[in-house]
Formats: sequence, structure tokens, C-alpha cells
Amino acid sequence: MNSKKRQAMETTDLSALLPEDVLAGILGRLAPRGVATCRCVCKAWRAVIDAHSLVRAELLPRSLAGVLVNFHGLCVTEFFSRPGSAADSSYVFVKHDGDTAHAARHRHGSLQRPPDVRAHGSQPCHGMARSPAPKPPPRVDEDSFDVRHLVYDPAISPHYEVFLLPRFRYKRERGPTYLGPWREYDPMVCRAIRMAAIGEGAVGREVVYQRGKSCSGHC
Amino acid sequence: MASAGSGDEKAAAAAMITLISSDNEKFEVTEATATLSQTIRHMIEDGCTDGGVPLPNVTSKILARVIEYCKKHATAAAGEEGSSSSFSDAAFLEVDRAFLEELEEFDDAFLEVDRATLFDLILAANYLDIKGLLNLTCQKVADSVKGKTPEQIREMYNIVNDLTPEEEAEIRRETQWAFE
Repeated sequence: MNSKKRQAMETTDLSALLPEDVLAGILGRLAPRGVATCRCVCKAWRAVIDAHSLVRAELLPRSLAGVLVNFHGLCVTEFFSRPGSAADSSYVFVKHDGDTAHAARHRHGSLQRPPDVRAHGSQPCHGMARSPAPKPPPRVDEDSFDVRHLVYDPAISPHYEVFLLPRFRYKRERGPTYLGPWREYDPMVCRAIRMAAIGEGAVGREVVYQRGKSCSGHC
Repeated sequence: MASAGSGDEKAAAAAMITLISSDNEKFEVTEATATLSQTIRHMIEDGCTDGGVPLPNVTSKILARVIEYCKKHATAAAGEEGSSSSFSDAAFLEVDRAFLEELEEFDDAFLEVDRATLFDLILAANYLDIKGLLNLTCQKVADSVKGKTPEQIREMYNIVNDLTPEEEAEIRRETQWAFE
């Protein structure tokens, strides 16, 4: 290719040369978030994405009020939501699966992956999180211990990440009668620690949840 | 082909197809290599490949790269068929794995091209209907777009933003979750 032609190539909109179905095939490989971003590139891209219904936003949860948690084999699933900010920012667990649960961060009516989350532990973790696991932050509450949970954010990737969530030991001596596991959490707040690597050091980010009503659910 | 007589298998293995690029360059390839292209496979089945297959949409430069890809992957396909009969043999599995790794390395190296060539390869793969090559090249473009802002994507591919500010604002509003 001579330099003149090369220069012409470098200033040509290459995507405009592609047949529509090929462009759709390319953009369709992106996660919903990437497709939505590409919709804003130009009219042609928006038309292709709309014609092929590539933004599958209907598959993404639009509003999530809080977190459903089932700690290992308990028959009652807990529901947590952030104090007074259900519409603003919340987290949800979408599945409990034996040793792990799938959690996803949710903001402004859409799922969003925290950009700085890294995998921790030995759970299978593909795709997004390949970096070495940072060390967990120092334990705040001595009555709790971390449990690994898988995180799933369909807006970003079909793969999982691993969150550490503290599990609280029962404090039977505090309650006059033992009414069930949900009575035993004290205070009525759960702190979830999201593994994060900020700058050089590994830091955990703490998110506070308030317990709402408990929900029965499948274990 | 059958009229050549001395064993169909041998004749098929030796069958050569001539591909003619848009700039009239001729490429002799085996049928196994050529039939990675569904388009050419259909032409062969229809018996209209005598005197060469003209490919007016593909330049010799791109056709040479496409043939390079098909040769490598045709060998891989043949290797897979050959080893499937001795699937339980650990030595063969080892060889398979090594070969697959080699194939992956080949694909990675194959994609080390400038954008114009990459898009030409996509067009050729689409025209010739070579699924593996189309998949490979499209994924490369998709990967390049991943995680970029609309501005970065436009800059990367020289795309002129023909959306009005109002339209852009509307798009951002429709899928606000993607722009946070």
C-alpha cells in the first residue's frame, strides 16, 4: 500500500465500509454497557444497534431495592437495603448456590461493576478479575468472619467476581428468647467489605447495610 | 475428478483450486484449504471452479493473508480428525494441546495488522464466508472498542459524530446506566 492510500485509509471511517450485519456482529459481542456506549458514537451505529436490538436492557434489572442474603444453609433469606437510599445505591444478591452467592452492585436503576474490585480467594474467577488477590482488610468486628461470594454483573460481563462478606456469629446471650437466626444479628447492620485495590495497597471498602424485613426464600 | 481414476481419496487430496485476486494474481491452494470458505465450497460443489475462482472483492495482499490463515487452520482440522480415533491416547492429547496452543499463537500473531488491513480481512472473511476468520477479526475490533468512551471510539475509527447534541443527550438519558 503506498503512503497516499495508507493516509486515506487512516482518515476513513472504516466501520462505514462494513456491511450492516457484520457491524452488528461486532457490536453484539460487547456487554450491554459497551453496546449502550457504542449507540452514542454516530447515527449509523445507533441505527445498527437499534435494528438488531443489541442493547438487551430488558434483561438487566432496572431497580433493585437491596440485598438478599442467605448464609449457608439457613432456611430464611435476609434482606438488606441501604438506609434511605434504595433508589440511589444498593446491592443485591441474586443467587445463593451452596458455598457461594452471586451479588451485584446496583446504582441508578442499573447494574454496575465497581471498577476496582479484584478477586479474592480460590473461587473460580474468570474474565474480569485476573489480578492477584489483595489481602483482606483488618477485621472490624471480631464476631464476624469473611465468606466468599461470587459477584455477577450482566451489564459488564458474563463472568463472576468474588466479594468478601462478613458472616456474623450468633450472639444468643443478647436476646431473651431465641426466635430465629435473624434475631441474633447485633447491631441490625451488616457491613459488607468489598475487596478493592486502590493505588498500590489493597484496601477494603466498607458498605453498610441495614436489615429490612426478612424474606423466606429457597436456600 | 473421479474420472482421474486412481483412487478418489488421492485425487481429492491432490485437487488444487486456483483463486484469482482482484488484481489478477493467481493463488494455487488445496481443496482442503479452499473449502474453509463456504463460498468456495459451494462453488466447488456446483462444479464451477474450472479455470480458477475470480474473487473481485479481494486484493492479492489480503487474499495472501486469508490463504495463510486457511492453510494453518485446514491443517488443524485435518489433525483433529486424524487424532480423534485415538482420543484416549495421552500422547495424542498432548500433541493436540501443543497444536492448539500453536494455533492460538498463530491467530494472535495473525491479528498483528494495522486497522485498514484488519477491516479488509473482515470484509474478505465475510465475502468468502470463513467463519473462524470472521469470528477472530470481529472479536479483535470488539475488543478494541471495549471499555472506551464514545469520543475515544470515534477518534480511533475516524468516525464523525453526526448526532445532534439533543440526540446524544437523549441516548445518554435512555441508557443512563451505561454512562455513569
